[in-house]
Amino acid sequence: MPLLDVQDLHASFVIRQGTVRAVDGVSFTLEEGESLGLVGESGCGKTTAALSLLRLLPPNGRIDSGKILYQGRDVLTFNAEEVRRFRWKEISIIFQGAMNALNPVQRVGDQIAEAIRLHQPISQKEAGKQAQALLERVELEGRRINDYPHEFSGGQRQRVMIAMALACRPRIVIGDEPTTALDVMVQAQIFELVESLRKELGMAMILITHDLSVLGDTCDRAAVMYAGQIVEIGPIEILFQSPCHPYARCLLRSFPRLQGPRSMADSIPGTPPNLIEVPPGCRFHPRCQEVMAICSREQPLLLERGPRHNVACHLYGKGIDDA
Amino acid sequence: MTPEILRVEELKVHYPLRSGFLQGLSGAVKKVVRAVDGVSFSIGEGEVFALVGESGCGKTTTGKAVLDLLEPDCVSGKIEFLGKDLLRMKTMEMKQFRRRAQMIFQDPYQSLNPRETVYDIVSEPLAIHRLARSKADRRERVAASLEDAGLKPALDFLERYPYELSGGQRQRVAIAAALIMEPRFLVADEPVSMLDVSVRADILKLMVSLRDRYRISYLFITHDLALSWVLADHAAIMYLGKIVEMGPAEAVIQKPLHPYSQALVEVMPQPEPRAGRTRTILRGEAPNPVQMPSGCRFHPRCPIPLPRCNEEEPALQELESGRRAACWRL
Amino acid sequence: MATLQGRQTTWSLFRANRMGMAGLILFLFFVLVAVFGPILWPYDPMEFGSPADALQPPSAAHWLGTDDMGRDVLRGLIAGSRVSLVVGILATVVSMSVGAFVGLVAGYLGKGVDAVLMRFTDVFLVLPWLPLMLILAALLGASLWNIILVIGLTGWAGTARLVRAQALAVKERPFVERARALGASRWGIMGRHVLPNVFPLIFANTILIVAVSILSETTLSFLGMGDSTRPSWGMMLHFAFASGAISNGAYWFLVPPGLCVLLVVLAFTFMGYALDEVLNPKLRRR
Repeated sequence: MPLLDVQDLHASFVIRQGTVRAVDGVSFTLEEGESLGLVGESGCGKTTAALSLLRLLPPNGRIDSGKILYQGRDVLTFNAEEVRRFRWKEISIIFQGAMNALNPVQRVGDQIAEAIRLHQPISQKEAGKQAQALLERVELEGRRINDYPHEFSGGQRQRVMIAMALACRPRIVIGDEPTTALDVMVQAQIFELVESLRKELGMAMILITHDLSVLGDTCDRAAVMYAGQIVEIGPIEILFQSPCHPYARCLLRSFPRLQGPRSMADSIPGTPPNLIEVPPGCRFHPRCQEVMAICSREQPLLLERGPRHNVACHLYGKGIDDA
Repeated sequence: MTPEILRVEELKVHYPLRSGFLQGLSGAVKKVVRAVDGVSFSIGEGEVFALVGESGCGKTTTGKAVLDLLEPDCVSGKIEFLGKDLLRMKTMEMKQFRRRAQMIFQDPYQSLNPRETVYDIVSEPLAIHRLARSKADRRERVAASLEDAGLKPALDFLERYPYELSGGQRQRVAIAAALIMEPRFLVADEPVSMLDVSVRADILKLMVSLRDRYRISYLFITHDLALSWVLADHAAIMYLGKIVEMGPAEAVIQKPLHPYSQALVEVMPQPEPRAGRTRTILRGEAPNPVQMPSGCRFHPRCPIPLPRCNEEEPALQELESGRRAACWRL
Repeated sequence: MATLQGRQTTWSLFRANRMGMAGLILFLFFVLVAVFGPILWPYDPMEFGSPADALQPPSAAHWLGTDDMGRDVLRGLIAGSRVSLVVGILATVVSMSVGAFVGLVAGYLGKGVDAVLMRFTDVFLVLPWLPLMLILAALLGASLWNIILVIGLTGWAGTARLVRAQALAVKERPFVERARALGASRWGIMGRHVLPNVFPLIFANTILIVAVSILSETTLSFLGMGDSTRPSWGMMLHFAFASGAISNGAYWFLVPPGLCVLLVVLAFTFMGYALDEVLNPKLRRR
């Protein structure tokens, strides 16, 4: 049984102009200790999907339908107390932009200790000691538990976020663009740290990013999202070397490689669709170079193409030969 | 031999830090932030020169200094644009300079006045430099500039406000506003880092096509080596206010000589599976520019320091033809 | 990512705000009274009634009774609305103009200019406004225009501070830097880029200043510094007090002008707060 099994998740949120169908039929599985990348451009619904797993949507958001099976139990049926115990103990999240997620007027050690004590009945002192140990685990000095967030650099604050996310030794860690706005060197350090901690603690990870290129160092598998849906999901080698979905291929080409030719591929024409009024059929069809007649009529299903490799595209549908 | 558009010699940008009252009384040495500490390079006509580095290295400050957008008291050195020294220009000459040298900013969401229409924004330079003969002429030039920047049909965009446009479109408006003055030189400060990945290529290709058509030179400031790889003719890598390596972009990126350049190239994320990638990930972060390390600025983080690196700062020396690096090992 | 705040949505947001709409309706009511009232129910302050008619309680002939000079209170109230509103609004225009100019120049030019202008502003902030107004009014003479000037020239300092703070913030935004890179002049940038972006943030403050100006005018007139040829509500209060209306129990002379001042000030205050909420998204209730 997979550790996490998301089945046909639908989530939306309401704004003045209408209802945004941010997550519109997303399904994927995550095994113990596996790392999955969720990649897509801004507005594709990846953050909403991740927040749904923790049931942390904003007040104007809601989960419309679907199942989130964690070790076989549907998270969406949990009552408030079960959700509280589930959050952070089983699955935690490293937010983007630590400065927004850390309380600026509370010492860093206290914030970590608070997270610990919410799930373990231990004393303040004991939690403080664990917080110190955690800081050292993330390569910061233990005595800095008494420092405030503004006394750390950007990269160091992300390390504090990581320490907090690991405080209760969850089975799954979600990283929501954890290194955006950090320098490449610091980014590499953070990923190296997360990887080593992950291996050591046997955690699974879902890494959300818009930057396809960071997946190579961290993920076993990746899912490419577009307009609220997963268009392709599979092992990272396949996604980098021979992606099937036209959008996945375009996305890959947008990242120039240092070993490749000194040229840029074309941008994808058009803009991502408005998630309030989605186009009929395949969401990507207005921008697709390989569009066919059926694409504007029917939405392609996410079908298996290889071992744990699924694609949602009519080019690979039933009864159509490989292109 | 292409004519030189810009020549920079020993450019320094030093910001004084306000010392406390007591420190001032005791006559302690005033602390100074050496954002840029002796940078020299030149850019030829139609050339794309990439200035690469991480945050805090001084690349944006260099870009702004070169366009005289900083406090004059903090800037010293020589900046020659088309042979004339920028820091000694008179007002009339400055105005001419502003026509010929423009900047594209990083944040397309903040670099346009939200209360002005696209027409207002793009026509402002015409008013400042009195370039249009009549209202009709102005309108025509604005439309032509918008089309040059890829916003077609231009008439559709004239009455729109920035909030109605996407990030890529806003950046094109900013480019149109710069283009309308027929500049020779553009400083592009991370022009695509805030745009969606799938849109970046279009803007970059636009910049290249403008270079080809109008022989515009670029100072392309970026933290992304991959962009320098596809765009730049020459590249300079900066660390803590100094250039540590400089040369033809291809050579610098494929065969970096300085340990920092090497680390930067190795650590660059690439869309490739990780198996078999060896990387030197540097420890720690760049120090605060107020507390500059002794000797070579990079030595505390260098994976292969020599004893000499702690004592003396290496100068930028010419190694092979056209390639320079500042390192005692070379 | 397009933002939602276009010019057209400000009004619809305001419309949804109950407090703001209540204030607006009240304000419009008084505007109608001020504009059309004196035409339909003319009032001549020089037309005294006979002493026997003085301080008569409300009756069929005089709905709100008569004042100490035998004049109709209701008509006086209607005429007074014009004076109070006009003085309040014009004085605000003066005070906002001076304050905005000083704040803009100080905030954008900074350094020496800022230091000098702000010390000057501080003086005006610290001076007790009431004695200052009284002295100026006494010096200049109590005509309507002088009253407007006096209120405007004593009240600009707060606006100057506010505008300066906003100008400092707007000045750092990239589009201002871009305008400098284009070669725009300092005054060009201030007028074209800084002022339009500061203005919406101070507009709410402007509305509140009108309320303060009306109160200032009422206070001045109550203390006897008003223009007796153009009586405002404050002047009515002054005469009410002076003629002993309280001890005589002539509530109809004392209460209505006071109530009118209260309602108008409330109207502007409601609108000001509502506008602040609309224009400053952080204040909006979720």
